Amino acid sequence: MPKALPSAAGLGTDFTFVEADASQQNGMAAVIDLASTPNSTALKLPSSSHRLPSVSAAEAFQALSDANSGPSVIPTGIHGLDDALGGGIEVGKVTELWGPIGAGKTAIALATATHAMEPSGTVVWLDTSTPLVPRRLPTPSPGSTNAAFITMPSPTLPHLLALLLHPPSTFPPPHITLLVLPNLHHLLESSHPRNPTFPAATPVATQKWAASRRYAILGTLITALNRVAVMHNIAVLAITGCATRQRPGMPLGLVPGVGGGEWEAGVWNRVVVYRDFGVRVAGVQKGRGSAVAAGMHGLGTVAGFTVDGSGGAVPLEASTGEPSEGGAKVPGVTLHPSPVRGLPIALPRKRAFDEIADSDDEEGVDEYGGWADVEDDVALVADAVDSTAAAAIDLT
Amino acid sequence: MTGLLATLPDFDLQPYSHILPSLERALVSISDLLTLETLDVAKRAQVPAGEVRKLIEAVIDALRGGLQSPTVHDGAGTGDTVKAEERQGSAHGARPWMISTLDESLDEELHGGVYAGYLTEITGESAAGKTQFLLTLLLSVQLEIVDGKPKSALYISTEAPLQTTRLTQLLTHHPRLANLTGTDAPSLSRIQSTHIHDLEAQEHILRYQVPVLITRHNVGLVVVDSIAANYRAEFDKGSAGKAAQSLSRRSAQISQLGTLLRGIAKDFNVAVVVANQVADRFEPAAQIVAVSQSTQRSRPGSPLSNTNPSTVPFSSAQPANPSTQPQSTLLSTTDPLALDHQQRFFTGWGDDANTTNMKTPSLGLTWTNQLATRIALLREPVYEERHYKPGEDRNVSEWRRTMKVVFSAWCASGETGYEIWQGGVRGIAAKSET
Repeated sequence: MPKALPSAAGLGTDFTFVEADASQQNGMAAVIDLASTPNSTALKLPSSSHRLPSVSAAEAFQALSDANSGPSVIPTGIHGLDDALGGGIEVGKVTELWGPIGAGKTAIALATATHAMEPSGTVVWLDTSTPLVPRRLPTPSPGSTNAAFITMPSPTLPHLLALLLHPPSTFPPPHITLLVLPNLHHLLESSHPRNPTFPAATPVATQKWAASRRYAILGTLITALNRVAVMHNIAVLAITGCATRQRPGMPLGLVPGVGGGEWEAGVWNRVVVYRDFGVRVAGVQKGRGSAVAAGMHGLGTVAGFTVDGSGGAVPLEASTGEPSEGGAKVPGVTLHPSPVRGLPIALPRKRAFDEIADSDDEEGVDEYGGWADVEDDVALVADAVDSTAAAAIDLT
Repeated sequence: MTGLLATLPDFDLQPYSHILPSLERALVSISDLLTLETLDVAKRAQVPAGEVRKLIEAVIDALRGGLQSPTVHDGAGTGDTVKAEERQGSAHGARPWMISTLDESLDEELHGGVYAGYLTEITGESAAGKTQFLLTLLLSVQLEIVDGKPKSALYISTEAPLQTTRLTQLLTHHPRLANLTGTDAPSLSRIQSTHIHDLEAQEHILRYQVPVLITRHNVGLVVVDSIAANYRAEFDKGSAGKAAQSLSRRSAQISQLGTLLRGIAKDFNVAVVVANQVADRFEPAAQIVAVSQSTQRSRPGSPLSNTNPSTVPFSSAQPANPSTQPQSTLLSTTDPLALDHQQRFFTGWGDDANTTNMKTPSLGLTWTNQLATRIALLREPVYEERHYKPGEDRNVSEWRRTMKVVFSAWCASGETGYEIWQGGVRGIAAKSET
């Protein structure tokens, strides 16, 4: 009986690579036609062969889906938001929550953590810049064995990078289902600010390279987060704050706190959380991997919610907003069709790529704006992403 | 090495002193060391790759060692929760605690008071009562007695010096302070104060002197009154051409200041309370639907889009496509992510659609992003109820003051009325909920 090798280190799945039996004596190659025996797992290979035994693709995918028997989404508890996301935030992927301060991002993350601990999952909450008060910590339901809420300190960006790229043995803990990174923009801002200042004597080329490092590091970060999400079969929730940006022809608007082409491309879901009179709103800007055909101003689908008075981690009730004439199947959610990508004004095609460098001098840096050229890269990538998802979602 | 000692204060630099200056000149940061290939770093800084590799390994070890073991919050019972609370926090004194406002209704609004470990801002117009709140906190922190020693307070002022006469008045008239006697009673002797004139001094004092003072004098509260004053003076000078540069430099400095203050609050488990001033904010003029304006789109460099958004009347063009009305009945506007609109909800002024007199705390969104909690002190005139002749100005009979928790890491937002009296501040029974 060929013995099974231990499953590949770190993988949450359980591939069984079958090792050729060392006691096999025959030197003849026994080739098995895998196509004709799809269910066979006993492979005989010549003992002198150093090739890895092959596994048919069908078997591999079967094994994979059997191993990933856990849930594929973690609900946030806001029905409208969950519906727009396809059930909740996806496991094995990175979801970004951004929005202005005080909007309710942490409340949503805590509600998701509560669900992530059911029936028996561990949540790791990185303690970055603002710790949670004990009152807000979600408590697992009594009797659940592996459910736990763990806070890990990660006060600076280098600490976070060390944790993800060179993880200690304690990370990630077993039975982990959700990893939350709050206030990621604080970590980025303190080590690689949007508007860096350099010592006077530094050559311009070095300054430009150092300024570009912010976005390169974000790219490395999102890759590492995606890897952790896939390898350990967890959902990763990154909470970034907001910044402002000049939108052509429109007043100053809010944009996600961390940006960059690679980061935005690597994030699977993006949810914007903001407030309006008497209501808090969560809008899905990027769902299921593709930019949602935007309603006004790239907002995508919206769902209302509230936070309860004690400031604790609470289930958030969906607001009972009636559907508007745009056509909505679920109360509280309006999926708004729009033929226009993101921007409301059908602008003549944006300036060509090679014009960006020239507009450095003309770009006014507003009070809150960042490096204009790098943000144009962001806009360009956003263009590319949105134009591929140009088809409008029509739910009428 | 940019930021190495800031991130890893105990790192031994000696074995790498020959390559660190080159790395510093090449602007290589620790994050770069961790994310770039060793050879790339070596080439960029013109240092031997082997040395860089050793440095990287040492840095990774130090970072891993610096990560404390994770805290597990089982919540298996109140006993475990208490233990978790005790374990949580830094090595310097892990217990979560708060500074009372010495008034029941105000404390209730804040869910206990001003919590230690967080950066809190108290903002409001002049004469709204910011200083009264701060003075109350300076005395109230001394009621927190740890290991037999009352905590003391640090008052860093940038404008007026500490009002000692008012403090004495509070001590004699406030019901919870007047009756305390003995060496542990709150007194002026446990309040250290200093005056800062400019940004450089502010940076130096906060970064180097405050940590020493905190440990030496068992400080529980650091007050900066006010945080905006030094920025105004520094950045108002300079020509218009350099305004953009100095503004971006300012936001970098502001976020560094925020990180510094948050670090002080968290590492030393103290409350850092900052007072901030406000500026008027004008309601942006109604959006105009104009098809013709779409051809006049303003390029980002044009003067139209560079002007202060709050004073530009017509540059915000609405689209002429049919989906102009708000996206659903949830939203009141088609552009909810505009800064002007969202400012209503995180500045403290404007979240009631009917307010006309709106203010914005100074230092902008960059500073707002640094805070854990913002307490806004609003003030509205109450006019005399009598018949006024046409053209006659109304008489202000009194001021209605409201303390509003705009956002907080430790309590829900809400507001409550208060008044200023001889003994400090006290809540008014009539509370108005948001």
